[in-house]
Amino acid sequence: MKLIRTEEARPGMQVAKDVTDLRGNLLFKAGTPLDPLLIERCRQRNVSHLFIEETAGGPAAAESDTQVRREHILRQIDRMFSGTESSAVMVSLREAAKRYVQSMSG
Amino acid sequence: MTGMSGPSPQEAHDRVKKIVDRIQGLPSLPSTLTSINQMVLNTKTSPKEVAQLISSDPALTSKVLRIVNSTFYGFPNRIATITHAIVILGFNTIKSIVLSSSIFDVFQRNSDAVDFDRTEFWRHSVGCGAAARALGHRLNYPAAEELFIAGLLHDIGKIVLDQFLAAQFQEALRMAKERPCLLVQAEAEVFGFTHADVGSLLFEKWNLSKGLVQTTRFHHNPGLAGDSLKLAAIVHVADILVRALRFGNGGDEKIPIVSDSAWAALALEESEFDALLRQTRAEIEKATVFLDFAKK
Repeated sequence: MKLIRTEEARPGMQVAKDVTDLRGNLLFKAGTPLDPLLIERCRQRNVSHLFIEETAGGPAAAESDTQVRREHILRQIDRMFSGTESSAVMVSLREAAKRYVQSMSG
Repeated sequence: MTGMSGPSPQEAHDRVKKIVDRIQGLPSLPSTLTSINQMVLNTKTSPKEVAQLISSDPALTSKVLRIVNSTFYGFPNRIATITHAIVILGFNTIKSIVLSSSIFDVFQRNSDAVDFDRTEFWRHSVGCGAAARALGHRLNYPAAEELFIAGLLHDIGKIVLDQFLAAQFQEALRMAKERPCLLVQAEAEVFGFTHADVGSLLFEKWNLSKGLVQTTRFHHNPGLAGDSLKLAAIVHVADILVRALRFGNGGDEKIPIVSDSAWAALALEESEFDALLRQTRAEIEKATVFLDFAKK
């Protein structure tokens, strides 16, 4: 575990302790992987530092964690949409939902 | 879900009404809101009088001021008093704000059902309201104020089922998970009616607008919503958008197929989904204040 400044936080890093704002309200729990929205929320709530899990392989391992998580989410989307393939509108939405996930974690 | 053969829609409605009428301890509309509704019927009522009523409840006052000063409205200057808020926003908007800020307290906080997480439920509900707002911007929908509240409240029947008919609701949740299928389909099998029927009946009892009643009742079947087709279609598509974003969870892991009548009523293009998902996410960020209320 190491302490970093919020501006050094990158998507895919995993927080090692619960993150709270200055009033002690929980923003998200230990173990949550950061994404751009969570990092932005930390900035908005004036969270200046974060405890981050140190991954064994450094940034490369963090990158592969992100990849694993993304694949997991894409499979969830496929499961959620299974059975809706007869609708062209739903096929378009499924693909848009996947593109959204790719754009958020990329 | 309607579409099953058997009794007519009116007979089915009357049967569910009898069941809902027998539920003991069903919450009533927050009393402040009942009073505001009565006050604003009188054309001589002033903003100050309504403000005095709201201000007599400090917790409500603080919530209303948090909402009007949040990014949800995005006013450049701070609004310090309820009177000021009413003058700027009008009676209808203030009524929506009072309802949307008190709804989280109307029902108990926790659920015994292992498969039903109330926090996730409220995230889904707030997300649906946000998606409805995003759709409203795209469609230039005239009554933007009712969109968020219609999305926020569309699934309230699930809370009633969870709280008052818990054993059967757990069975429906289990069925939805195991098959897997939509919770609304499992409810129709287990209860013979759905959260949409129950929610709309609650709102009838609360004397909420016909638009909210019809939208809640037909959000899975917007083609049947009559005069409220457009609002019901928006909430129907909003529910689907927020599921596609996987924000919150309303008790199942499946996504409904967009109804043809909703799609035709809104005249959207499939190529707009990327933008709509991004805009929904942006509206969710603006609605964070409601997520905070849901947590406490």
